[in-house]
Amino acid sequence: MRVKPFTSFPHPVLAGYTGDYGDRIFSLLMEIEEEPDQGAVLLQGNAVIDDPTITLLIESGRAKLGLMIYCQDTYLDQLVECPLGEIKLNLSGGRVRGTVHVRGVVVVAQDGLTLDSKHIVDEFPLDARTARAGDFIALTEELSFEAGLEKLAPLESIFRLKKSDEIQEGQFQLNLDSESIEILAHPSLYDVLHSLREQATMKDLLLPSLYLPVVMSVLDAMRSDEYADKRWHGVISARCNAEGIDVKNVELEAVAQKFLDTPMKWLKTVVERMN
Amino acid sequence: MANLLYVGQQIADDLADQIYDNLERYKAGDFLDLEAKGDWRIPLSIEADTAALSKLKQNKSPESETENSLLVGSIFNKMTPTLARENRVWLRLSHIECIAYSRQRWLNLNDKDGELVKDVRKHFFAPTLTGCRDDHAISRLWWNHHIAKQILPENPERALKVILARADIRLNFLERPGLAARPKLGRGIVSALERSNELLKQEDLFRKFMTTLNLSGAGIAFEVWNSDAIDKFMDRCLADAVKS
Repeated sequence: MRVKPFTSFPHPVLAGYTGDYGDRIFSLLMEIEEEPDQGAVLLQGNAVIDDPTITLLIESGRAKLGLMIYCQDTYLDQLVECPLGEIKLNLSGGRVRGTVHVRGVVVVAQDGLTLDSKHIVDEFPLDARTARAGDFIALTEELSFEAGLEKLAPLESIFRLKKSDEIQEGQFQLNLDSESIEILAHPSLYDVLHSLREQATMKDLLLPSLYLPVVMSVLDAMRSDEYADKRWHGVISARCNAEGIDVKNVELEAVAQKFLDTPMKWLKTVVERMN
Repeated sequence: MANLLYVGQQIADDLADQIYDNLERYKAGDFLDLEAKGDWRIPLSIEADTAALSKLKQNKSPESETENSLLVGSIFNKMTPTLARENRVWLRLSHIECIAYSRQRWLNLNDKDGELVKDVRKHFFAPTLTGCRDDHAISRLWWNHHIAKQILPENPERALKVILARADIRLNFLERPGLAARPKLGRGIVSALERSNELLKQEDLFRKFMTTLNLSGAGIAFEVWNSDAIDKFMDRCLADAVKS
């Protein structure tokens, strides 16, 4: 399960967004090690709880510390119990792919538990300071990462340059209905582009002149779900997810330049090569 | 037993782009001539007895769906969820080893070509999460089995029988992963369906039950509950659903 951001509870919950425990914190510091070609994913880190009453509840078994793992792509939704201190979680063996969400939680393990931390703010009356088995009493922020090979697929693997007599001379059009992004160019333009691509000193010129506007158009098209079943969409989506980019809320030129690794720099480089 | 095979990316792209051109193959032919000369045989490290796929039953009854899911789950028992999202594995199976089953099960040959192209795209290709899990002729069977095994590892057949009893039950399991993908809750739902014939038979009641469960169960980590407590909770949800 995923606890939605800013979910409110009738009892105090130690979380950054609630403020129920004043300035106390519950945070999760995790490093993700991945070998995508091996399907190996290892999470390592630790949870920091600076309210001693909650730590005591975990130590006594009256509450459990765990990680909620959610991966829609592989239908994985689990609460994995963890010890206090160092946390290691192995998600290898092809268990995760695509976006994986991880949140640290403390869950009450028995009914009628009294929450008696001195840090609980005064607005909670005494009768609201109890929790039942299954109640969350502490939540970290949710961490997300992108698992799998898709995010590493080279962008050039999803573009295909094609000749088309139907395009006006000197112009190109995109066909996004195909599995690859087809750049349809008038035959004379196709010859020029193809020739540039074959020349080691000149091919980089295509990045700012052709691929920059193409990637911007593609990102714009991804703002609707019309092309979600196309392979090119999956590759770019994975890269966006890996870099925390929401195509619906970004400046297209900024993201396109990021994906193409600052393509305008090649103008200067190519001019210098020619001189 | 032989290594499971998948097709090259270019083959996958070309097939998806050329469904209309290949429509006669989908209707009555095969792709064996293309398979013999193209990049169709990339081996994976896992083995599978794909010859056993000939036992797939082509009728649409829940019983056949259950048997087919068990068969596919058994043949591809080494497959991981990550690999089971790979379009190019399933695409090979629906175009080569299982083309007859996929055609018989999912294509209506009396349909117009436009409809057939849509159905081929839906059931012979698995490019997206929903396409792979719900629509592809073979991969959907693997996912049925995987979900059932996640709920009842010791007896996936028992879970499959109720999940596949009606299309809307399967849909609810898949479209509410926040409930059914959690093994303890999924087990509780299966158990409730087994205990209540009304819930198993009445689509409207099951929909209300799942809505009630979704509302009443929000914010509860059922993972720390025992099965008795979960069964009682399910009974309360069912009683509320009956009243609503």
